Amino acid sequence: MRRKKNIFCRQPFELSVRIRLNTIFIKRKKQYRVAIPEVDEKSIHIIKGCIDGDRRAQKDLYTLYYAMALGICLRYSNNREDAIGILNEGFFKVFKNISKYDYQKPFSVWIKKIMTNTAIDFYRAKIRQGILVDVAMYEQTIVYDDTISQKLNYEDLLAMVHQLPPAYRTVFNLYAIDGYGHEEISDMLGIAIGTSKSNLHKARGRLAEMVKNQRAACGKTEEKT
Amino acid sequence: MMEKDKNKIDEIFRDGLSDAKFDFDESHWHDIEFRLDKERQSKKKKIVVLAALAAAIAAVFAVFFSWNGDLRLINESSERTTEPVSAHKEAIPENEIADPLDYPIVDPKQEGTRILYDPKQEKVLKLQTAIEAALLQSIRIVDIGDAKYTPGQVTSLNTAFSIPKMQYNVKTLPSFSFKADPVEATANRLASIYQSKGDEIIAPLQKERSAINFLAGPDLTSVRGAGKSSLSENIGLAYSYPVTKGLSVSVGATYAKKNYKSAYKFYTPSNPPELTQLPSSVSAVCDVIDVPLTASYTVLKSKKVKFNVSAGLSSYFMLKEKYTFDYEGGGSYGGDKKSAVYEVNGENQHIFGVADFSISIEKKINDKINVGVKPFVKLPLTGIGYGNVDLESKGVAFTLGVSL
Repeated sequence: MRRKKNIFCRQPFELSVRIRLNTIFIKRKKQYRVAIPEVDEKSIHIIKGCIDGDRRAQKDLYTLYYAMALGICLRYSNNREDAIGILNEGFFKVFKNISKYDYQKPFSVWIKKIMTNTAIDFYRAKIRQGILVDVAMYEQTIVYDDTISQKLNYEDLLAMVHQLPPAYRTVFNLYAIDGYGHEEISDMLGIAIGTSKSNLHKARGRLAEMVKNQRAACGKTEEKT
Repeated sequence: MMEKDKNKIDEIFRDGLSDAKFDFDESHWHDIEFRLDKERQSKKKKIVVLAALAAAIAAVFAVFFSWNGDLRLINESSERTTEPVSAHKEAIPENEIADPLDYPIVDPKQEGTRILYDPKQEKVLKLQTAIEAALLQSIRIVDIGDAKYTPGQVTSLNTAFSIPKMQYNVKTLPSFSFKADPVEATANRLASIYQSKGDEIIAPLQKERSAINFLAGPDLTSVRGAGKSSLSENIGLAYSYPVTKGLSVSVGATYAKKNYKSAYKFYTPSNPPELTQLPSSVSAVCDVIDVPLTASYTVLKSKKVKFNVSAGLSSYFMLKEKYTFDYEGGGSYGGDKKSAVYEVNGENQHIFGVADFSISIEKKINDKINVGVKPFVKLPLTGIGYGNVDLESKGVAFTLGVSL
């Protein structure tokens, strides 16, 4: 007789208990007993409510993930107005497709993916206009400064990202912040891998330049004071 | 060094942009709530339309089958008649020549024979006899003449012949004697009897006739995507001409008063007016002559009922278009005026600009007149009217047909 493997046997006892406690079983229509290791009980009720089309649950979900989603949308958009448009378009997709959510995966990752895709769709035409440029050409043009390691505030960084063209900004966001590889990015945006690399490089160059200028401006202000 | 620096840029932005904190803005929620409400309403409307459509189709089928009851009775009785034949099919090997003398002759006038009598169809009887079988299967008919015919003999039919259904008039059942009549004469006589009676009793193959149909009915007109439907009226007539069996073409003219309302964003006029403020919505009332050219196919047909499907193209001739542009908060027209009216007369024609689909069920009242119901849908292939809007209509027309 073959014994069933217990997945918890390999875990240290404490971790095993924690996983057991956090593993909540929910009833979703006729698919019973689906484990959700990363979603707490409150979220489950909210998601269930959203599946049933309950407006209060939808508002709770919106409120809960508003900041996270808006942060993503702002990074990918040209300005705040566009970001709000993308945010609501993304949430509309979330509410419309929430019954398709895979409970095995974290909900925040699902929302993040939807927001990212919505933002990409928003600027898709402009992103695809990116021109393939030899990466080596740009390797030499980027000048880095030690001062760029100093911490800059959120608004400054966001303003810099907004100044990038959509094609550069999207690749930079996907690669540098969201951790996608060039192959994935080329699939997502429908561009060549070379274009993705080139755009990333140009984005980094421009950002480095902006950070340097920002530091210089700050330095002058400090000297004056 | 270069790679490290690059990562530093990434790191700065990753760290700096990841800890975003935003206060919840209620107005953003209101925007999406409004959209969700709209979506819910349109979903409900879709369900209502689908339910209505399903009900209409169900009603059409129900009416068809209830009107078609007579035909079913006939079919059932004919099925029953054929049963004994098939039951005996295995009794005789396929290639063996049957001798009618081996099988008792059935007298249709006697009780207990296999003649089925349908009280609703007094004249129509189905009969298979050994004699019919003998004639139809080209057996040695000369032997029939020598056969001893015993009219009183009543037994069940026992034949393996594949006998076609014969229709028989009991009142004119022929009596014949093989002894008295020559064989050829008997055969000819039988053939002429069955031929003539059959033609009378089986529903004669009527030649399809052209017809004029008067139609009237309501429809729901809407601009595609706008989600608002308004009731409109149609009245008109159509001439249909049979092309082949079951297929006919029809052409007609329908006067329609189309009412529809939508947001201004659905309007793309060819010569847009210079507006200082865009209207929020537009209400339209259009007098239209709809000229449909359609092909109809009769899917099901009984003595009294016909079920047709039709498809074709309609041309819209816009007689009069009246648009009322509504402005939110009064608009730029000054004072308290909140709307502006724009009229167009006879400027727009859309030749074959609308696809026309319908199903119809017709019941014959008498040889000349029939009545029917016709659910239809008209889908735009081009922009309609001054605003070039995608104007859809779904409705039901009631028809009165006169055969020519």
